[in-house]
Amino acid sequence: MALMEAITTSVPGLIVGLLLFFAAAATWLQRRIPKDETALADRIESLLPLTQCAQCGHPGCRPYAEAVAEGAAIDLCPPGGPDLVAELKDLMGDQAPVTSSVTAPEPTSLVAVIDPAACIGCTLCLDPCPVDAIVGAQGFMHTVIEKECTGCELCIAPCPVDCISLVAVEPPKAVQAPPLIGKGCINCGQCIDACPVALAPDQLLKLSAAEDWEAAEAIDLQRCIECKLCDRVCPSEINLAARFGYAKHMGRTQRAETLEKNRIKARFAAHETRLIARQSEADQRRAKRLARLRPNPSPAEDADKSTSANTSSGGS
Amino acid sequence: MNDHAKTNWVKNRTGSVMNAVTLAMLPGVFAMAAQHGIGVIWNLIWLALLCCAVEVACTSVRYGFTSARQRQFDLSDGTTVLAAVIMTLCLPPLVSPAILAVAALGAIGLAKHAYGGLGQNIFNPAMVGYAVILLSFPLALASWPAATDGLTGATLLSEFRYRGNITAAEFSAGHLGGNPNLITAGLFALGGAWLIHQGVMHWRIPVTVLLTVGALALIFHDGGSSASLGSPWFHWTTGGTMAAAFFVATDPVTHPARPQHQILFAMLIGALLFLIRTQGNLPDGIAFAVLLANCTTPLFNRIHRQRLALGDSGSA
Repeated sequence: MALMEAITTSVPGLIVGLLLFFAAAATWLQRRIPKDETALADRIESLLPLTQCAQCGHPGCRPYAEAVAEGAAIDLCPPGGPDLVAELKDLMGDQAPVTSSVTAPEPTSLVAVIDPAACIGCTLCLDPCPVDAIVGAQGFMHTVIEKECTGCELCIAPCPVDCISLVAVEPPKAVQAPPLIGKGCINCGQCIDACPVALAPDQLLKLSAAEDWEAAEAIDLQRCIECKLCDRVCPSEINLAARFGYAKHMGRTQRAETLEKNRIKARFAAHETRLIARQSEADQRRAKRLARLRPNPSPAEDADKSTSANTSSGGS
Repeated sequence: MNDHAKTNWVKNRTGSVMNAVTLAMLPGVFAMAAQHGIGVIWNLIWLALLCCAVEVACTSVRYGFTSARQRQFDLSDGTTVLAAVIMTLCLPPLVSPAILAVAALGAIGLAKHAYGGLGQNIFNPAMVGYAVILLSFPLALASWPAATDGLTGATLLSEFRYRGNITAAEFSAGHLGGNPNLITAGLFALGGAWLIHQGVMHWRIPVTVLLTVGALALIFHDGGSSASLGSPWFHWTTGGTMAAAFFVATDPVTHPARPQHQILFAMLIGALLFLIRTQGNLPDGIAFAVLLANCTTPLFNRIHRQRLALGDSGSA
């Protein structure tokens, strides 16, 4: 009996002690987990338009994303426009640094076009293109691959005959969201029984309302055949099929955008690698030539030479 | 399937679903009025009027004074009166209209419209309304009139609460001698059975709630000594167990979507109901048992969507 009493009276103390122990353990565990340094830069990069135009002063979108993560101004990206500034503000907080109080102009979607009659085939525009969207060879007319061009304007300045111009691209037609018809969903489940392709329309409806297209696609949104059987059984008379049609469109668009961004990133990376490889090849050839001309150069002089060679070629 | 939906007048419209639930509860409410006096009907009328007033006020604020067609939520969905009827079950007769107004504000204003209206609420509106006034005006809600069960000034359940036990003799004296409480509980069970027959709800939630309460009572029942926690029959027929199992736990908006999860959800309600009754200091456990279980619904639905994404439809 005394033992029972002792246990009863010590229970609150035991619970508090256990809670404190768990809190301490959780804190210790959290410290043990290494911080993901690239997570923030990844999220910023996913918001950037990835034109790789370098107008922000950074050599590409990834470096700018890393700079913003370190505290650079969030309004340096003209292709992103005011939407991007707003999104970055959401991510980085209201105190995120900006350079000017002027609202960025609304960006237009552009592609470069080469005037075939004027192009002299000088190849000067090929290397500046960050995504290798210009094809051509010495003495032959160059062409912009319209699908790959990001409209970054980096090819305009190098052209000696000013044959490249930027033209606006017709933005894809925006699909109107359907009107919200019907009362609230009461989870009656009749749409689940009615669906001929065995989807979960109740969950799809909630995810569509939350505009979480990715999660909706994960539960097979695209398999919806928009047959409207769910509309017919819904006691709240919700226009489910119309909303799913719109969700399917938005899901497809979002997926296409992600693919497009990944392709631009890959092309930019390939471009960078190619430039670096060519640079090192050129350096090796130069070193060989120097060795042939002067069999025994003094080490100090050689170091001096290679530095100056690097800077001059880097500037071109 | 469509023909079924068209011919079943109950499941055809959200309004008729909710009105059917209200209808199924009315016999039980009248039995309560026979037991506790006309004050129950007084509560019901006041609550219905006040809830409708709050509903109209909220929809007007949210959607402006537009025509009913343009509104997503209005009185025609039947949930407002339903919430009033459910709250009536929990209240002693002749509660002050001022307190009922607070309940209506809590139920319709706080639990329903603050969350975005019908279908968006996490918590059962009626239980929120009741919990608000139970915590704010505990004395007014404890003043049950002298009952006909031989225990003056309190219901069996609160007698059980104050003394911590009830003997088998007292219990059977109260109940087998024609206690109206038994009739009330029986009428609620009958109403619930009709709803299950109509396909408005599935039997799995009410049956699981009752079985869990019964099983727990059986485990801790010691044959009716002075230290007994009450028999299964006692827990089934007293307080709001029957009404909660059939009409509150089965609220489709606030229970999980997946059948397996509904069983766990119902077991949680049953276990919490028994725990709060036997170990807590509230007059009855249904409101807090249901509200605490409601907290788990978003988590269950999250798991449900993850399972759906893995290709597991989960239909029972």
